[in-house]
Amino acid sequence: MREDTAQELLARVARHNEEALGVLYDRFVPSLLALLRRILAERQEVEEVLQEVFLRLCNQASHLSREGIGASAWLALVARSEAVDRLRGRKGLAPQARGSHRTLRDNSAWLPRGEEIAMLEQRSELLKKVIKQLPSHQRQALDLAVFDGYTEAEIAQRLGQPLGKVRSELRAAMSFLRHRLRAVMGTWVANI
Amino acid sequence: MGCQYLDQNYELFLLGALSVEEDASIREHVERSCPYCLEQLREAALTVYFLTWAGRPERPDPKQKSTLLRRLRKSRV
Repeated sequence: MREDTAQELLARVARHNEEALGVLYDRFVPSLLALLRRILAERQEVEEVLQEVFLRLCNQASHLSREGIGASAWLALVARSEAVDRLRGRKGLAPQARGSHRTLRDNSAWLPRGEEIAMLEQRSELLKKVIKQLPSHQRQALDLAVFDGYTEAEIAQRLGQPLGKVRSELRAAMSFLRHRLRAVMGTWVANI
Repeated sequence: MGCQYLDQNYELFLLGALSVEEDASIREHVERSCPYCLEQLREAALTVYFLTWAGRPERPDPKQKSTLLRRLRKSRV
C-alpha cells in the first residue's frame, strides 16, 4: 500500500486529523532532532522547540497545504530559526537582523513546493556528498552560520579573519552548492 | 535597479547571517513580492534546507508525541 505523501498528510492535519499529524511527526522528527541537537545541547530545549514548531505547523497547516508548501523544508527552516534564536539569546548575542525569521512568519510565497522537496530528498545521498566536497575552511564558516546562527561579522571575529575574506568564502560555498544542486537535480526545479 | 546585485545573498539571508542593511534590502524586495527575488529565495531555500541535514537521525522520545497531541487537543477545546 502506498505511503501517504507529506502533502497529503498536511492536508489531513489541516482538517485536524491527529493520526496524520502523528505520521508526520514520526516521519520528520528523527532528522529534526539531529538538526536541533546540533544547535542546542540540552535535550529539554530541543524538545521544547520541537513541540512549538509542530504546534505552529498545526496552526498553519491549512495555509501551507493550500499553497502546496513542502512540510519537511518548512519544519527544518522554522525549527532551525527557533533554535538559533534560543542559542543566541543564551549566548547573550543581539538578535540577528532576522529577515528570514520574519519572512518565514509573514510570507510563504517563496517556500519550496512539496514536489521540489520530494525531488531533492530522492537525491539526498548524492547531495550529502556534495557538501563534503567543500574546502574545509568554507565548511567551517558555513557550519558557524548554519548551526551556530552567527552573522558574517561574528564568524569573522570568531575565526580571527577579515570580514571580506569570510564574506567571499561563504558566498563561494553557497555558489558551489547552488550549482551542484542544479546539476544533481538534473534540471532546475524552477521549471517544474 | 535590477535585483542581480542580491544574487549572492539569498542563502545567507535565510540563515540570518547578513548585515542589517543587506538583510533589509532583501526583505524589502520580498515584502513587495518581487518575482525575481521570490524565485531566487525559493532556490536558496532548497540549498539551505539540505544544509540542515545534520548527522544521523535520532529516535524520538514517544512521550513527546503524546505530550504534543495532548497540548493540541487542549488548544482546540
